[in-house]
Amino acid sequence: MKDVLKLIKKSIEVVFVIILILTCMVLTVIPASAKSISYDQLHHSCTVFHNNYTAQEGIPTITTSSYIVRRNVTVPSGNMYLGVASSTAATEGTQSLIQANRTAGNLFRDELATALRAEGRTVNTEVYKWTPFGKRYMDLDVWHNGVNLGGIETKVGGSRYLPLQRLKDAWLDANGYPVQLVRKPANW
Amino acid sequence: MDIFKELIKTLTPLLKQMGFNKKGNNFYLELGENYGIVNFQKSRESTKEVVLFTANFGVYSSVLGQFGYNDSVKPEVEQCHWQSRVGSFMPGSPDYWWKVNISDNLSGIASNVIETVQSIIVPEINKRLSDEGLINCWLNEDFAGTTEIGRFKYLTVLLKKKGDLNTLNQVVDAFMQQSKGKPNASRALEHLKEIEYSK
Repeated sequence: MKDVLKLIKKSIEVVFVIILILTCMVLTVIPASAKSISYDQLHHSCTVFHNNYTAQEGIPTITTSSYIVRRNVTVPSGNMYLGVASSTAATEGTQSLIQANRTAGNLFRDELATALRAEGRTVNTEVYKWTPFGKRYMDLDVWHNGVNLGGIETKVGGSRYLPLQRLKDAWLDANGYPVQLVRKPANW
Repeated sequence: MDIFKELIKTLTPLLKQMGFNKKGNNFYLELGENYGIVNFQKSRESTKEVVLFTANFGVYSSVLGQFGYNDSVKPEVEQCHWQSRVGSFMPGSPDYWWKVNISDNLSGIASNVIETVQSIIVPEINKRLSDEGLINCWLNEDFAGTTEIGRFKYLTVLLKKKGDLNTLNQVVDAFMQQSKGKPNASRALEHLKEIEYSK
């Protein structure tokens, strides 16, 4: 009877040790694999995006800031907890970059609107257009003599012209509402 | 405090007194199955302390909706067949946005908005709330409230439904003449097939 109890005790100890080892392995291995997968995927998608972008729109380089935004968001460093702290700091940086990009974008949009108004057009900003694929947000909606001529999407730096935007724009264009993409020149 | 939400709360009873029903930031006037819609849009440039907002409005015809143009049971302002922003009916057609600071008196802003709704938005909606009103607008007024091809498509559908074939023929002839060689010509031809138009 004593032997049986000893055996059970021993078994419980062994099981406990195995669980402890497995827990340590999980805590060590998972962050490492997560890091390599997310970074590789991110790097790959950035490269693919960069190539497509350059080929399609003749943009020679992607801006440093927009590249940093993407890289900072998903590159963890150190252990799991440091990774969280690092991504929090990156998010703050990202937000301020997004804000800066948005301000620059709004300034360019307003410059363009002023120029169009000087040419006798009525221009509304921040306009939503209905499409079967969801609403399309237009930076500028241009009218002349009470007729809606079309929309303008303003872009600053390397900001993307996304596939869904292209799809909605194609639908709008087919329905008599052409959408123009106007990108602010680097030396503006 | 969310300034914009508070403002909508302040505006709601005042607009309901004027006959509007509310859904989200949209307010609806109904005539038969047609809708007059007023939408308050908050700018993306708004902050917690300062809110910019504007008013979009439009008219939705159920006849046009059922024909396949932006069909919806309870449409949104973007689905309206005739659309405008409030500034288009102000002198100089500015892109008009109200600016509200967190310290501002909301009831003061609300009464200014209501005054604008009463003096500009409701009269313009009422002119076009019926299909007859829309036909008159598209035949006789400069402000189309849509694209060139939009006006043509909507007008021809309503005229055909009404059975006013003389006016329909005139509209078709004039449009085909002016859009010769332009992309709208092929769009118009395609549309005329869809509505089974023949002289």
